[in-house]
Formats: sequence, structure tokens, C-alpha cells
Amino acid sequence: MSVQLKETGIRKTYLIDDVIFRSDYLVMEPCVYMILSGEVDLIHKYNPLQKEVFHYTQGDIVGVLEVYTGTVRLTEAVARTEVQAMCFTREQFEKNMIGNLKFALIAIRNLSKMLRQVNGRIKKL
Amino acid sequence: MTPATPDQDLDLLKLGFEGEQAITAELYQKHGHSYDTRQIIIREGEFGREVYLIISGRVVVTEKVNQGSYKILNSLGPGEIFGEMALMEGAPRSATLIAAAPTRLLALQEKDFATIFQSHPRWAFKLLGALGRRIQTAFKVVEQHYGNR
Repeated sequence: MSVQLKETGIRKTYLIDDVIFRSDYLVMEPCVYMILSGEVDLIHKYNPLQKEVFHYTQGDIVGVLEVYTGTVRLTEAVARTEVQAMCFTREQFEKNMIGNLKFALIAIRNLSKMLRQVNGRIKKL
Repeated sequence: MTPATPDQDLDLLKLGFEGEQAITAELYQKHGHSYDTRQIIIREGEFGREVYLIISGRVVVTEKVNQGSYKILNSLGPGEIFGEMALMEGAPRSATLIAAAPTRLLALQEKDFATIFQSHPRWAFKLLGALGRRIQTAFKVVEQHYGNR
């Protein structure tokens, strides 16, 4: 992946089925994760029976949503394979957004795809 | 998104740097459109690469329920952007957008939007914020549906 980062975060490794972040948790400094390798499912539970699963792979950025809604985590991130990820603080994330257009476009596209998937479900209700 | 070209429109660059306060009569003359209440701005399923910036009025994001009937998913006001999803993903329009009041907006072609997007980070953050709010609203719509069953 050829994204030149302005700020490097903390590199983290997750094993299969590890929870990267949990939903309904309010953390003072929520991290944003860029997947360096592996696959991650982002899960939003509508109720105990219904959920939305967003699938992400290498190069994708997850965990952005709550940083910009100012809410507790609305989703839970689970490693579906062994995952290498770069964890950014909000400040690091924003410096990368400003310093690298490609990085910014990835973050925007990932949220855009998420919205399209939820809108797709709404159409089927 | 294609990169900005050297023959960029100076009014657009000003909009990029200064934000909505830089919307002038000249800029509106070049890129402005007005819509009456209930007029359709973009239709779900169509291919389009324009990104829209609302100057005044209100726009509702809808899905077609049946002939002539639409369900409102979201509502957007002045300063908000729409139409970016099709551009970012190279996919068809994901919803039908209708003017809910007399509405004036800027319709920016892909290259024009690239010009302002690349001129100032505010546009990237603006898009993230807008998408985040719309996702949050969409989650609530689904939750209410399941909660009412």
C-alpha cells in the first residue's frame, strides 16, 4: 500500500476473533485504525437479533464514525483474520487527513460505503 | 476523483479556501441552480458525477416507496454537501434528493469539486462529518423500524 503518512501511529496486532474496539464504550481518546493486513468486521447491532456487518480489508480505515459523531462507539470491530493495524489518535488522524489526500479519500470512501450499505437495508425494510 | 487542473476557476479556489462565505453572484451564475419545493434534484439509480453544496433552502434524502411516493431518510440544510457518494465510489446515485423548500445550490462538476476539495482540509472534514451524521440517522431509522415490530 503506497500511502505516505504524515503521522505514524502505534502498530498493533490482533488475533482472529479479537475485539479491536467494543460498541457502547465512551473513551476519552478514540482511536482510528488503518488496516495494514488482514480482515476486520465492523458490527452495528440494531437489536439482539438484527445487526449490520461491514467488512474491511487491507488499506481500509475504521473507527472514524464516532470521532465525527461525538458519540460512544456505535460499532464493534472484530478481527476476522490475524490483523496488523496502525492506531491513530484523533490528532494524528487529522494530520494525516490534512497531509495526504489519498488517506482522506480512503476515510471518506469507507464511510460512504457504510452509509450505502445501511441505506440498502432501509430500502428492504 | 480526478486531480485539479492548472486552469482552475479562481472563484472556486476562493470557495475552497474561504468556505461558503466566498459564494458570490459570479460563482452562482456559473454553478448555481434553483429548485422549487418538491422538485427532484437527483434520482436514485442514475449516474451522475456532480457534487452539490446547498446555499439556501432544504433538501430531503428519500427512497422511492411506490409511484410518486417517497420515504424521507434524512434532511439537509444550508452549507451541507450531497452527491459525493456517487463520485467517491464511482457508483450510481444511492437516493433521490428532493427540494423541500425553494432551494438554491451550487452544482459542482467532478473537476470543480476536485479544485475546492484539494484547496483546503475543511472539505474533507466536512464530508466526514456529513457522512457520520447521515449514518447515525440511518442507524436510528432501522432501529425504530425493528423497535416498532
